[in-house]
Amino acid sequence: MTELLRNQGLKRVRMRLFTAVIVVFTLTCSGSFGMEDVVSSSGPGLTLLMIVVLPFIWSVPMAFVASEMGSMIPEAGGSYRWVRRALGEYWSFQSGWWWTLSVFIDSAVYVALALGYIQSQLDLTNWQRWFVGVGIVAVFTFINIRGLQLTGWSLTVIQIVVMVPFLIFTIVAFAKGTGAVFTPFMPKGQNLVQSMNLGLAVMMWMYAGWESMSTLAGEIENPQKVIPRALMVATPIVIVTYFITVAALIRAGHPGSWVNMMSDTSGSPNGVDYIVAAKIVGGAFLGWLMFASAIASNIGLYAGYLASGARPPFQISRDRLLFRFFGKTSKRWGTPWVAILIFGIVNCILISRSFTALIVMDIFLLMFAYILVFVSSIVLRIKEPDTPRPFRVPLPTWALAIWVAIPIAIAVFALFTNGSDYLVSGLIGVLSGPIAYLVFKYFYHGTTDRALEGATITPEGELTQFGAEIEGVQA
Amino acid sequence: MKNDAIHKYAALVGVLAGISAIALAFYIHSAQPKLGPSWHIVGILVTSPRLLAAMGVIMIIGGILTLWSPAPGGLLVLVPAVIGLIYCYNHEWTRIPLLKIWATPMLLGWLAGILAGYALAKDVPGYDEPPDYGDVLTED
Repeated sequence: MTELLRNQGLKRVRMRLFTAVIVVFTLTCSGSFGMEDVVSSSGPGLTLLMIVVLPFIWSVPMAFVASEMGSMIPEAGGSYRWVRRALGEYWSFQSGWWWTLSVFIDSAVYVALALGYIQSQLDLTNWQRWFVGVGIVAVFTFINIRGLQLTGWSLTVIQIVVMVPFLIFTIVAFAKGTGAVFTPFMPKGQNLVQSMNLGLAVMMWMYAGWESMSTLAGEIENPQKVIPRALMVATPIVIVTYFITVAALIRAGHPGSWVNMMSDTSGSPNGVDYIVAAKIVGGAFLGWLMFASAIASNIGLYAGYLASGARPPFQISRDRLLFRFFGKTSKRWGTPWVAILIFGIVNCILISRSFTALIVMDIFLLMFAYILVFVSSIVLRIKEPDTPRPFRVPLPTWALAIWVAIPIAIAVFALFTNGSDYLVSGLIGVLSGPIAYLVFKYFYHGTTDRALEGATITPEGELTQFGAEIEGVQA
Repeated sequence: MKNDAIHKYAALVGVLAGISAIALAFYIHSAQPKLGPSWHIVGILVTSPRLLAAMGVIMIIGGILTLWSPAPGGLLVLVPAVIGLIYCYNHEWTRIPLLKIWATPMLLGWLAGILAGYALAKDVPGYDEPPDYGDVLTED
């Protein structure tokens, strides 16, 4: 045994490629609920075109960058640690803080959405609704504390519940539906920019999450191989899933019904979402199947983000920049149980009240964290050109810089096009980062790069410490 | 007083943020009455110009304090910027014009906060060994 192989009390589990693909699929897709809004705001043809084109300028760059950096720095905390290596302690804290804050809010949204679907059929009181929510949170918090193996299994089961109804729906919709899949290209009376505006924001959201699995690297055997492979396999699966299921949705309605498509049909008698569309082409039974799929989709997203979201605060605490208790691990299961438990408790508090102001903060925080990840990928190419990268984006650094400049531009564009409430509350969230750094750095001092536990892969395939100086690797 | 350039830059930008806030308070008072009642209003404590001026004073104090102690100094610059943003968020009908006014002190305050963070990192170097949680798993 070597001192360098210490893993912060985390237990590595063997994760098969299939399970890893399921985890990535859950974090980035988990069904197509939410796409209804894009169809009505951007039009059928433009929606399908965006589903095909947007990944190559938005999510595929992130998937490739996450693969390269995840293979180079396969550590718990994922992107937080990549930014640390590239830009140092200050910006890594910002990245980890913004990302964690965003995922804390995000995950509560998924529980709230699942509860919304349940409440639409069962007339629950506020208390009953909260208890059901706490039940969902408690189950998945426990599963997550038990470890990634059980989490992977539960996500596999959930994705079967999500995707089987979609499969049946797609077949029936193409057989029985009458809607024109590609026409009109976009809504009448709107220009291209107007049509893309809302649709782009939603679709950026739908295509986000590619970096999320990397936070679990500290608990997976051979993460430098498994995670990049899973990302490469999941990327085309997600694109094809969105394309086919959205095409089926448009097909399911009668010609012109795309105008009424919306993800939240409560209070809109003419509104069409996936559940309504499933009832139209497959009757009540398929409608109920799709209803179960909608609930499972949101629960799956919650379970996935609970897993990935708890790891950055764990790692930040281990780097002495957050409350010490976040860094505790379970001796029995080798998981960061306190960070996961706190995540669950925060979610229980959030779902008990309206948190609209927090939701609008969310996308801003995520975009800033993404920008830091993209910048880090270029900095590391320049700073550490010879560090082994088991997966390397097949582009020279200048070409990679141009490629990642496009999603950065899209992210900046999105910051200013979502409305003033998003902008102002997002800025409040972003400014919480420098404030938190000043507070935690002052009280906890942080840890030098040289002292950080972590893994760099040497050309011989051995793990070395984060700040180690080895041949061809700069600390 | 610390002699590092980073402390001085943090202080300078923090003071500039405060000065810009006070200058913009005068601007609203004289030229933008739509953005909120001016100095002389009775009965309303928090008005746009009053808030800007008060936050500006705190930012200047914070900026100067950054020279000696970046953590409290940086906080005194950043927190007023957040308070300004919360004020903008709560005034839905004038949110964008208010944000345009607050943009300069907010961005300068943010920059001062970043510089204060770097200055703090110089003052408080991290520990040279990983924290001991007593739970390190070993591998054969």
